[in-house]
Amino acid sequence: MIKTCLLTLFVFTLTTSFLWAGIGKNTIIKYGNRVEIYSDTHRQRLEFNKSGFSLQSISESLVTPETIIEDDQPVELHNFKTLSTIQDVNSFVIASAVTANPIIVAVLDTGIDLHNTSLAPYILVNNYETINGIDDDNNGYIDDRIGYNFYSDTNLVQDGFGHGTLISGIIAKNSQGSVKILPLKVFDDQGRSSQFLIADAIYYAVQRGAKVINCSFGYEFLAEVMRLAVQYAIDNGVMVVASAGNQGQEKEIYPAALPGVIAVSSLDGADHIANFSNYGKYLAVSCIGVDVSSTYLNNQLASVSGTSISAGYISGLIPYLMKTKNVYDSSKIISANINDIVDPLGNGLSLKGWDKYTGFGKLDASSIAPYKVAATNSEIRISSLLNYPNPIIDTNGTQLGYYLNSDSNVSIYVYDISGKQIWVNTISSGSTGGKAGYNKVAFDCRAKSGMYLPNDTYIAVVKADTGSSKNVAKTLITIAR
Amino acid sequence: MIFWRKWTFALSIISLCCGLSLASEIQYDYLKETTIPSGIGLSRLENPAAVNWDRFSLDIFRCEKPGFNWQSNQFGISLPLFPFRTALNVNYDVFDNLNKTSVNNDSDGTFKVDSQFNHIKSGAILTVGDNLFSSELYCGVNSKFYYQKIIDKTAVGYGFDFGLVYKINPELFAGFSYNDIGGSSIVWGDQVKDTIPANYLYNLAYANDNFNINYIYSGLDNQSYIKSSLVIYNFITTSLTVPLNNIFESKAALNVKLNGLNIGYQVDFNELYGQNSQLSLSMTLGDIL
Repeated sequence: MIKTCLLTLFVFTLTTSFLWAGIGKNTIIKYGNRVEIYSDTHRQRLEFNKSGFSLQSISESLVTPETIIEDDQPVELHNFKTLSTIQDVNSFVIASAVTANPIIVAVLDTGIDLHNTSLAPYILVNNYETINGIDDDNNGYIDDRIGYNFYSDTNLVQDGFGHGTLISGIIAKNSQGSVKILPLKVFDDQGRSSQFLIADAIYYAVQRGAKVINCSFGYEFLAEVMRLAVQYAIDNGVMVVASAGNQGQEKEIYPAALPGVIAVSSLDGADHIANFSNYGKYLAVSCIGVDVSSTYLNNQLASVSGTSISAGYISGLIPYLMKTKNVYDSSKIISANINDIVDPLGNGLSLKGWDKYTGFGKLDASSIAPYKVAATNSEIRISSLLNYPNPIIDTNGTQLGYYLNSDSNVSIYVYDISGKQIWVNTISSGSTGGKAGYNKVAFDCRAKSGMYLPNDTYIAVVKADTGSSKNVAKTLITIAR
Repeated sequence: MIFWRKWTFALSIISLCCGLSLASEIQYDYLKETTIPSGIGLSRLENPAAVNWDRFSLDIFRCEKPGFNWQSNQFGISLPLFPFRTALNVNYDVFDNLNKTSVNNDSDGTFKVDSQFNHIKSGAILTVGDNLFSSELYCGVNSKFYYQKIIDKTAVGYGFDFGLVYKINPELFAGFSYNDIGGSSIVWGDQVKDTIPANYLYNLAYANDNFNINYIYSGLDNQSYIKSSLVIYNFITTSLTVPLNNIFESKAALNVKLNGLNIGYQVDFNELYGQNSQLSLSMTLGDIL
């Protein structure tokens, strides 16, 4: 009996090892401002040119190539914490038409249900490609008329798992007709993928003109190949949205924890962090992630929970906001529409401003309508007040940065902790520091006598006044020379 | 015996002041406009040389008996030790969730939060004081020790205050203090030394059992403050501070006295910090010690 069990275990382990051994190794060669990546198990060769990297442009002949060989690591789908099909068709209604000049959202997932009638108008079609076994548009991917399957290296993007269809439905609904979805199947129907496949799909999405890449997956191990791909996307102006993961821990998951990625955690219906949601210092925003309705396989609807859902929510909402406000800078969109969650844990502990549970706060569709009304009433808003550098470690002073939603007279005060006023700067409406948009004002950290301030923490208060509306924002400045 | 004790005390104070004023590292002009507040324990603006009108701290000018007080970030004891009255106050403050920032890689170069850090400010003040020459004149000296930490940088510092209060009549007081005599130094490692400039304060106060009002003038800032408090029904205290150029602050407190034990709950509104509250406890130990 024991021998039989051990034999079974051995065979299972051996089989699993063979399966994952198949993802192989990646070779990364950096030629100064150009990077080539080869996989020993996939036919694609990725080439990121200098536009994706902030490196000095010099002749390759003068550069000694740097070669990195790394194991291609597995990537895990952030599978749902709960999923149940629902019968009420009125619980999920999405706009039936897509507006002109939609924003392309690449969904790196398990594919999409091509038979879903609600999603059909949202699926991006590559009109330069026909299904004929030939790479008509000469982009290296044969017959990629509707997305691409990177796992099988084919054009078969039909979802057999359901995850990609659920995420696509949420993106479509929140976009309110503002997006086209580029389904990129990077996971098999068991939810498995590798870092090279993800990098390959990101590279492809950028080439296809995607402005948003949704990553409802992650892995604790960061491979250079994925880091390079994400950096390439961000440097090309593409917004990468990633879920924080569903272990309910303070945990760094990649790509969510990579610099520049919009990492999303989940909230429950009471605006507290969901018990399954990971969190950490990398978080940017949060939104609902519990019991959200979306499209599912076989034209069904389902109610699901998980940080994957939250990432999809943001990937759909931000394009909608970009189009309706005609602002295409994601950081501006987020800062202008974010709602700070001051009690993210629901225990009465006040965490104003950024915190590791909800990032800068909650972004949701319900907050948009009141904001529009406020904007029409010319209510002045100051948001994202921060100073850089902070802490200040030299005698070069600092800059205060903040958004204004309209031109306004601005007064900036700096106090010491006891309330003694140290510095005042008044700025008239429309001039630098008082313009609609992002403003930067320098503070030299010097007293009126000209002496540099001592190491300590100070309070900066920014007051905006349009005549009909006033607003105040505060931040703490620390000098630590 | 009493004569000898008072002259010894007076000579100690005079020699201390002379010694400090001749210290070589003092930077008198440094940060004249922007002093680090001496906001630790008993040397706060309104408490020159341990003379304290705040009913939630020990008031050794009035209290002839030993006692202690506790607040959320402060602990103090007072002892009428021969030949002087002595008080020790320890203060601990933490500014947490301070933002470490960097620049976003976008067209505007917006700022973002990378991580968070703390700033710890703590210190201790040992106060020695007693009546001098007559029962109407009180004199005290503070010895102050500072400790701060920001991320991996730490600082230590020291300083001294000297103060006098004269009781003009049972309800009218005039005070003077010379704080951070010669400039108090706070040294950060080998590279940075911050100096708290010396400051002098004048104080004129009217105080009876239920009401007090103080006029305080700060020489360094060239600023005046008016601070008042009112006791209602002997257990509710309200307080208002009106600086003539900076922020204002108001407080309301409930103070329950139980045989020498005072339990206080204070709600305050500060223009900068908004509304806060804290619990305090003080006890007069009477003849126990």
